Amino acid sequence: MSDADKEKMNGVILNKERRDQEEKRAAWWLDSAPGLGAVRLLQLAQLFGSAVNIAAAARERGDGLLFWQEQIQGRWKEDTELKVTAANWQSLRAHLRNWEKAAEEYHRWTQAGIRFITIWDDAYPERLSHYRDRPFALYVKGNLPLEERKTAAVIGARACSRYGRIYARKIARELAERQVQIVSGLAAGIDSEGHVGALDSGMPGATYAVLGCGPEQCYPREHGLLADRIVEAGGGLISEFAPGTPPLAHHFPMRNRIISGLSDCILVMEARGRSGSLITVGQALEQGKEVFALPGRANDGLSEGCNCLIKTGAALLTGSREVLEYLLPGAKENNREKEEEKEKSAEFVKKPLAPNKNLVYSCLDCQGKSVEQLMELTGLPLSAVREELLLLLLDGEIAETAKGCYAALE
Amino acid sequence: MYAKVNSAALAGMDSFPVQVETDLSDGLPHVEMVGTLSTEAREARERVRTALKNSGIRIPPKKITVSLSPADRRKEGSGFDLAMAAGIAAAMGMISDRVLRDCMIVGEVCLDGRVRGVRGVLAIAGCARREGIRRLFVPRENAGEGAVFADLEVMGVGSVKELLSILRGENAGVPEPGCVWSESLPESGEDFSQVGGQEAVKRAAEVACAGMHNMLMIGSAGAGKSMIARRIPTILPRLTRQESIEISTIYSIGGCLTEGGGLIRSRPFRSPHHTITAAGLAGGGRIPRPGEISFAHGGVLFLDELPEFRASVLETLRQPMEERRLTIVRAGVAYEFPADFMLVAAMNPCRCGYYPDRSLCRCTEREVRDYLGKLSRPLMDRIDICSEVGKVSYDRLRERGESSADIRARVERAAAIQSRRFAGTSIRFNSRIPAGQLYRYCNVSGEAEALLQKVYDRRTVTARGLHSLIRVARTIADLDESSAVEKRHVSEAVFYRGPREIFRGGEENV
Repeated sequence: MSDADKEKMNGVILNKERRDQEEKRAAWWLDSAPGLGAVRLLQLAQLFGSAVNIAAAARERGDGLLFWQEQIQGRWKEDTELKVTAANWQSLRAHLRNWEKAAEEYHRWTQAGIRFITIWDDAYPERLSHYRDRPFALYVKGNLPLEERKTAAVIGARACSRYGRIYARKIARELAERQVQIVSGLAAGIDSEGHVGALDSGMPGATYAVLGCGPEQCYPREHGLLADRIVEAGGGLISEFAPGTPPLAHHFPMRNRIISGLSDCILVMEARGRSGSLITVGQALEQGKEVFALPGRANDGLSEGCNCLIKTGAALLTGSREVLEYLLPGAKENNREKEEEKEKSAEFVKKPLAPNKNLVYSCLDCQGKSVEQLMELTGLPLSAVREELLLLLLDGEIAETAKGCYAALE
Repeated sequence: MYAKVNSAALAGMDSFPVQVETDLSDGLPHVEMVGTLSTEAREARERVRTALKNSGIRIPPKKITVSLSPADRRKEGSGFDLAMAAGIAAAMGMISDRVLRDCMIVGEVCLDGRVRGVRGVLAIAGCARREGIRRLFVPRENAGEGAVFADLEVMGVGSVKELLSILRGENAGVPEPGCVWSESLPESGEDFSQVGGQEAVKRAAEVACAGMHNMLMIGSAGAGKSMIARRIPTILPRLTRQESIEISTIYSIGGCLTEGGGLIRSRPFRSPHHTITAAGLAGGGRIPRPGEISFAHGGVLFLDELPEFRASVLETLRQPMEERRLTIVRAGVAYEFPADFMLVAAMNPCRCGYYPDRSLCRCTEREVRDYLGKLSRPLMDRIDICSEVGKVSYDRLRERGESSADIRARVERAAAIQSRRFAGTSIRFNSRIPAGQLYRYCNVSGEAEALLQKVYDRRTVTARGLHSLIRVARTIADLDESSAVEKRHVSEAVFYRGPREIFRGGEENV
């Protein structure tokens, strides 16, 4: 290749880069347009082929209905309903005055490490690409889930019980250890347990959080550290909302469709009869995903949703094995794991607990019991129950979940 | 003609002697009053003149000058009326000076000559005794209140006429029989045996009473927190006569001693509503009056629904809880109120009250944390004992527990051990041991020390929390009549930590 050719090539590459930049800036501007939701943005994108084209068309001479009809004439061939109206087009034209601001924001946030991925990008998740209401663009801090790895969503109540907590964490960890990526919503309760469980596996890119606000902030605030850990561990914070968007209530049902869309199956840990988790499940079923539900006691309000799902055909979830069988069929049972399990049970036999301790310990479950209840169950006096509890507490075999409420760890 | 009558005025918790001097001289008929008087004291002029007239005494048309000394101290209240009436009568020559010399007279008069009750008679009786007074004349309704000291003759009078007839010797008068002190407690109807089950809380209350530790109960609504709190005074050590006089004096000054009841025998139990203001709780006002914490002196201050109290109100508790008294300064005068109380507080575990029962509680973890977070750190640091009040099964509920008298016997034994231990110091209870002298008084055994270290290393308690843990362990050892703090004492004390110092077992999210 001659030098001239090389220069020409470089020029082409440079040109392409410049064009890409131009396109991205236009897309950022387009995504921030008021009154245009995911469906309308996608229709516009289909009509014009690129954000630069849309911006150029909006900037061109002419206004009013006539111009808009001219624009779309012959372009909208599909028999689906066109949702974008002339009024939308008008407001998009008005939105042109924010062009400079959007460009400035685009540069500022991309430099701050926020990736901006539109439907035209190769990085746009393949899993989302079939949905009519897929987000036009994603704002990502860190990485997106890998296409070639299986993904599971862990969802459930924010005010969950220890039962849900323990299972969410355990199953997420075991799945992550087998290379399954865990997606959830960074909310309190089950969501955060799912993330923490996946992080506990120590696998790179183990977990991803889909947010209801801009990816640069964290809601709820106390999960800031957890969000940082997710990004540090090679995972990512994903949002369809631009940086600076506050966490509004109606954003959360919207982000749920991304959670289910990004996943191959949905694991519902604990859900009340009419809860947000069930809305996510509804969306997941529409998207054709497999739903797993952790069973609970029949009279437990927190498991009402899960039990109802199982009744109507969701798969029963009792451990990571069911999920692994579904996601990785034919994968050999890990021998090492089996051995470990054996060792564990052998150890348990080797190290029997003292009689009293055993008695107290055997009365504990993961829901938590008070000293008063333990006295009644074991028939031991107050001082004896306390003595055993303290030993168990100091050995880290049980935990005090609230003042005076003791629960087994697993 | 000139006459001098002894009387007394109130200032905060104290009473000081006041001389009421009266002079009749020639001049325009007029009553002049001097001596830094408040409005109600100055109005005595009209009340006394009319009362004397209606009692059948003709006041001569002369200039009457009344001076209340010491002149530089402000005097409040209507208690000088009766002394002034006696003064005018004496100045008219109706009563001899000699009779008045060892008498003190307090009381308000009505226009028809009857005598009405006043506040603080017990404090005034104390003052009279200090001044070497032999006879104290008080309104009849306050007579029982004042008749506490054996060496002071208290006469209750119903009218000005009656007072004058006694002073003139026409009538001997009947001195109020002095109250007989007995340590037996009046029947209150409340007893710990009525509380079924709840062994853990009852034991916590026993430990708290034995060392005068402040206590917090956490439990859902209706679990029995208030019921237990109400019974705590029944297991506190019985009042000594000295303590009883101290407490009765506060109630006397507050004007809320029951009529004719004499000394208060049972320990106070005060339970202010959570809408109380800072002045209502701590005491105050333009003329400082004792607040709830002073009325709880020597007894229990029960704050139900602790997080619902305004934070600024709770913060006013900090100084009194540290110093055991409250100082209020008004217009350059410092008033001191005693406030040596045991704080018993109760709260729900979360806003709805059902946490950690997830089948009922829908609060998020954060809401639960925020609810606990409403309690300020400094206040929680001063609460040594925290206990949960759980649900009790029906069978247990029907059981009759140990009686208050039995528990009190143990508490009193522990208190006796403490008073021997702290003889010659200002400390009275284990809960008041300063951190610096903790190990001097608490002889911690090697095994117990190892357990303390283990608990501390689990990082569930702070250094300050560790100190309160040792104090509580000392009290438990005293209840056990053990000279050293053993492992079993520490291991019980560990269960009384606050709701923020629990063994979460590494369950924190991040």
